[in-house]
Amino acid sequence: MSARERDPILSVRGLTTELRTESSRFHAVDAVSFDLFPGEVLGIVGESGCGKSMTALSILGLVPRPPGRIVAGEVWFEGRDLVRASERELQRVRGAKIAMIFQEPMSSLNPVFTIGEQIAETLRHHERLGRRAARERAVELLAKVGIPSPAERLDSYPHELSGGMRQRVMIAIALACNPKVLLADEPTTALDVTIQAQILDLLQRLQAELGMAVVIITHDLGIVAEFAHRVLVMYAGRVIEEGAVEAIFESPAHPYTRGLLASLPDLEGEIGRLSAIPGSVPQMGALGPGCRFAPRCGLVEPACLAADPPLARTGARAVACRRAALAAAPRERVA
Amino acid sequence: MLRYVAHRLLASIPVLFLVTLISFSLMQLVPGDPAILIAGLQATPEEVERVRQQLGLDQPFHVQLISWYAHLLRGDLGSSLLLGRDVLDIILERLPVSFSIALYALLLTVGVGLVAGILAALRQNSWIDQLVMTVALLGVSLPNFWLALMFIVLFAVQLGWLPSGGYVDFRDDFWGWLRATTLPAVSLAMLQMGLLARITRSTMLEVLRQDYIRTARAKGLPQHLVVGKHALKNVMIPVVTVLGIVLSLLLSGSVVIETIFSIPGIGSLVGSAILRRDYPVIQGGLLFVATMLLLLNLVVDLIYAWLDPRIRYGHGE
Repeated sequence: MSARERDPILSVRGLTTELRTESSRFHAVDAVSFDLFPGEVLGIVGESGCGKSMTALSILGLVPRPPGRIVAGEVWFEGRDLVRASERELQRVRGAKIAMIFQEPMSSLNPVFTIGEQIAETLRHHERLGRRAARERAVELLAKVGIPSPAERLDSYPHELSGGMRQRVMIAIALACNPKVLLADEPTTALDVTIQAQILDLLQRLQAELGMAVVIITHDLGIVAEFAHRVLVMYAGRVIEEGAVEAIFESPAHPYTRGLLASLPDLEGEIGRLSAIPGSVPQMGALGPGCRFAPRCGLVEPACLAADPPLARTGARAVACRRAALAAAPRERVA
Repeated sequence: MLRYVAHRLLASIPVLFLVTLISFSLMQLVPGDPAILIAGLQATPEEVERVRQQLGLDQPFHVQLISWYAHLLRGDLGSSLLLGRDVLDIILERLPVSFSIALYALLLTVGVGLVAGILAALRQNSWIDQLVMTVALLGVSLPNFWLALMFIVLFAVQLGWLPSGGYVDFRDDFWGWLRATTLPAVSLAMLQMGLLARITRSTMLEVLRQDYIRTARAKGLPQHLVVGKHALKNVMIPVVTVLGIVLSLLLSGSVVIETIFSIPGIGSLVGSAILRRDYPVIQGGLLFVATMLLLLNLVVDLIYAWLDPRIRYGHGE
């Protein structure tokens, strides 16, 4: 990517977020580091509970507290560490420079305010627009996200709109102040398949049009393949593999990434059973000292259980696996 | 909306009819005779019988009942058996008294109960939360007549800050009114304040966990807008729902409280009328209170529709 030549717009270093429950406490986000470059689309993939949403919430200081708390790390944005920024400083960044959209369009909009109000509010607050000017901009935004007859729709309440329409409204809210970064947390997961494609197309079009950087969080590798330039694979709170999309899809280095790719249905090949990664995501409260994927890994050896392998970087690629070289061998060898 | 209001008003007529019918019947079942009270304990049976005839109490039940309804249709609530005055006049005279105290108590309930509940939720598990919940629990559990007596002992007798009873018209002397009505209003409001604080707290905690609150924060809105705008309007929906209950508690509580503080309101009027078997006053007072309650609940339902756009009245009727 040409984007790589420039300085990153968002730089996450060693971000660690602790979650406390009554019986345990653990790092839901564990020493996560990555850079986001201007105009880049970065995919974060992983199973449910791997900490990918928590990473996005941590960046904006939106981790619900209790039970969550950022215990270490830095998030550099425009020369400032957002982890150490005051609540007021964060409020000036949220929604204005870094915007976020969520997985649940049905419940992410306030049911008792019109969608026009919910869009205009952001503009009035961040850009100090007057009521009428904010309303006019809201109409433009609704048109931009592809809502038919936007002027009439302005006075609709969320319950009068379908899920796909609501997600479009969420996108309109997020884009209201022309943010530099958009954090999209599973923006299509809760939608019908046809609507998913529309929303993804919309995001892709708007990203290209506005040139903003996007972090797209998803468990759907198809979305990553279509939309992202670079991928971060997360497992149990950690980044276990990073690289350009083509590289990751062609030669996944980590056994977990290989497992994820192998579990994709192959439309061109013969119809057979889908391969799944055996076992399930570990209980975060009860992690051993070794590699977090070891209990499910087909290539495990005694040394894997002794220490958690660090993320080793070679050029644009990074992987956290002692057996990465072996894993990089042809796919068929992984169970 | 207008159709809905008209519909509700029409539907309240049978309710009012039932209320008066039940109260009329109940008073017939309760022993006691106003004629004896009027004629005096030394009166001969003949004298008592004469009084009874004068008052029309010798007539059979259904005749009395029909005659009462016939008068009601002409806007005549009859006159008090003991005071000899027109019931409607007595009620209208006492209305500002009860109404001003009820309004005071309602303002206290909403002001204190709502704010305390919100504070408790925002500072969950802090000492503020503990304090609010303890006081709220006391307010809900302690009977209001006992609280009223304790308030009199403490603030009127011991400290001498406020009068122990009586009433001053707010049109004559606002500060006098405020002094006279503060203890009654607080005693009356304690139960509802507790109720409202608890409901507000639990609702607020629930609302603050919602996704749209996270959205509001992600938009960069400051805390006062997130809580005071996005959360509050949602919190108000269940709160307004219980306001209907709160209003009925205010009206029923006023009988005891007005009696304790010797306040000449509707509550003490109906209370003493029941003791003296003053049938027309009881009937008129109850009819009036029931009408007020129905109207207030209609207002509550209209506020409810205004708060929650998912509720729309008047469709599909």
